[in-house]
Amino acid sequence: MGSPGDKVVELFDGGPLAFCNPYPVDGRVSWHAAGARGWAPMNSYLLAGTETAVLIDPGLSIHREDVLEQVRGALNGRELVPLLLRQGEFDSICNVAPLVDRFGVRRIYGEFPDAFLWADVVTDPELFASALDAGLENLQLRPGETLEIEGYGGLEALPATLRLLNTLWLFDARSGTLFTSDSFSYLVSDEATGPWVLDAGEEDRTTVAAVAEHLVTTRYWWLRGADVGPIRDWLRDVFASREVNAIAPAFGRIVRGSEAVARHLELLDGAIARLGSEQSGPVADRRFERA
Amino acid sequence: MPIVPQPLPRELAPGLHWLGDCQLVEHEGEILHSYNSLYLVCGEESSLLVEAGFPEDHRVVVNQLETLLADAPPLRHIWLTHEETPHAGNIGRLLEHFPAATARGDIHDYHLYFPELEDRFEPLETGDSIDLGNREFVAVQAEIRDLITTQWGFDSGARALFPGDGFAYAHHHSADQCGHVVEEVEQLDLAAQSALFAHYALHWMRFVDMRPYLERLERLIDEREVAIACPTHGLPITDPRAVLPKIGAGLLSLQASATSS
Repeated sequence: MGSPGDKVVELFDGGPLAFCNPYPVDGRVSWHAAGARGWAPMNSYLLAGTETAVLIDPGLSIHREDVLEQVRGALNGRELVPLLLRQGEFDSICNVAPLVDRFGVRRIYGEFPDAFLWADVVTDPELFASALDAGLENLQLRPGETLEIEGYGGLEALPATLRLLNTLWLFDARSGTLFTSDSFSYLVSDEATGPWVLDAGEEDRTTVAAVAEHLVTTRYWWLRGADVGPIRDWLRDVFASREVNAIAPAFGRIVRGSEAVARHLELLDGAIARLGSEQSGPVADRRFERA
Repeated sequence: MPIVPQPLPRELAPGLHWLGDCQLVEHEGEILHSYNSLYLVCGEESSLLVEAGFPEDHRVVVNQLETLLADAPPLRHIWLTHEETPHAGNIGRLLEHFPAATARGDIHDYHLYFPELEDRFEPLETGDSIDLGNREFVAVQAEIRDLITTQWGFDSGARALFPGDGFAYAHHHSADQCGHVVEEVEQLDLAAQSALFAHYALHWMRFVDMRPYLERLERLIDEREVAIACPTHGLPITDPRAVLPKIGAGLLSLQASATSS
């Protein structure tokens, strides 16, 4: 599946780097519909300023060595500061302790002021001890606050009305990149080599029905029959009040370019509206499907 | 170190033990505690651990387990309600510490988090059971959940329901409340604490009519003849039929406040 460097995408000149590390969508991953097949990227994003580089979501254990190499290749002597968008979920935090150990991390941002306590899940006892000894400073990034990255710009933290578990959305005004955590996460590729970015003008056969199916069979099972008005209002306001040039989800292909962004906003909003108009019912359990 | 002088582990019923530690939560200047509980179910042949617990509690939990397992059948199963770190955070370390144990439940995704332990995860579908000797542990439908992969569990020996995030509420930073079942703590406002927990952790309830969920929960309690409810984030409940209306009032108030705002 290529070298670590093959999976690094510079979203915009001078803008975020995306580390798009692929995993198979084969029925064993709960944030994709049970019948979905292909490959999806688990995305970590690096925003590099003069002295610090913020890494949004350190990603999965299966990608540990790739993430470490990708960070090494981009850090250039800066201080690495992980920012956890879903500090209670493994897909966001698996590599925190390895990053702390490898790069001497001293500060971690999360939505709560004890991010590392939630993220310390490694089985390697040496990594665990190393991280504890590091004297980490756990910092809180609250909705409505802006994290200033000197030499880069501000990273705005948005409260996420569309969410299942605790998370934030982030907006990088410099590049117009909207980091949407577990939303807009439905795009996959047929191949293990990607592509991981959907640019405006590329063929895109995504439908409202497909997005609705994705939502209701994964993390947004509760949308069917729900009061979705506040969610739709919030979603449209986020995009209307910012110049969004890219939608950067935690997993799934990234959407880049204003036309593609506008189309996928309509798709997601349309899917939420459709589900809200349906009758709610008991939530079926997922069934185990092995490749 | 434990948060307070540690009242756990506590035996709730023959062969049913409550483990874990409190997590401090600050709310409007007040210190609340929220448990990240685990439960050990001991049959005649094997023991099963409900949940793997919050990462910070690893050492506390292992000490509690080693104390209990010194006089109990070996730990063979670690069943998880779902994969959030307050519930499953220590699963990797526990599997390393107890090499004869297997992680059970809905095992989607764990191959991505613990690839080195992939063969230690075995699915348990809703409706399937594990025979512990003189009692069975059954995976049942989660009537209140966040992740779609959530399961609840039921122990036939104590007629105990393990509802994960169901019946979730905080208690007060006071030695009089930690380590108690809710019936022993009269001054705890269950409706308010239930609403508060849902406000912070069960965001989806603001947008959904909770009455059908509560009705199904009541039916589950009746059909299974649940004698004790053992939530992950609340004090255990020895009279779930009496407590459910208070919990329900809290959840319905959350929905009402979301509608009016």
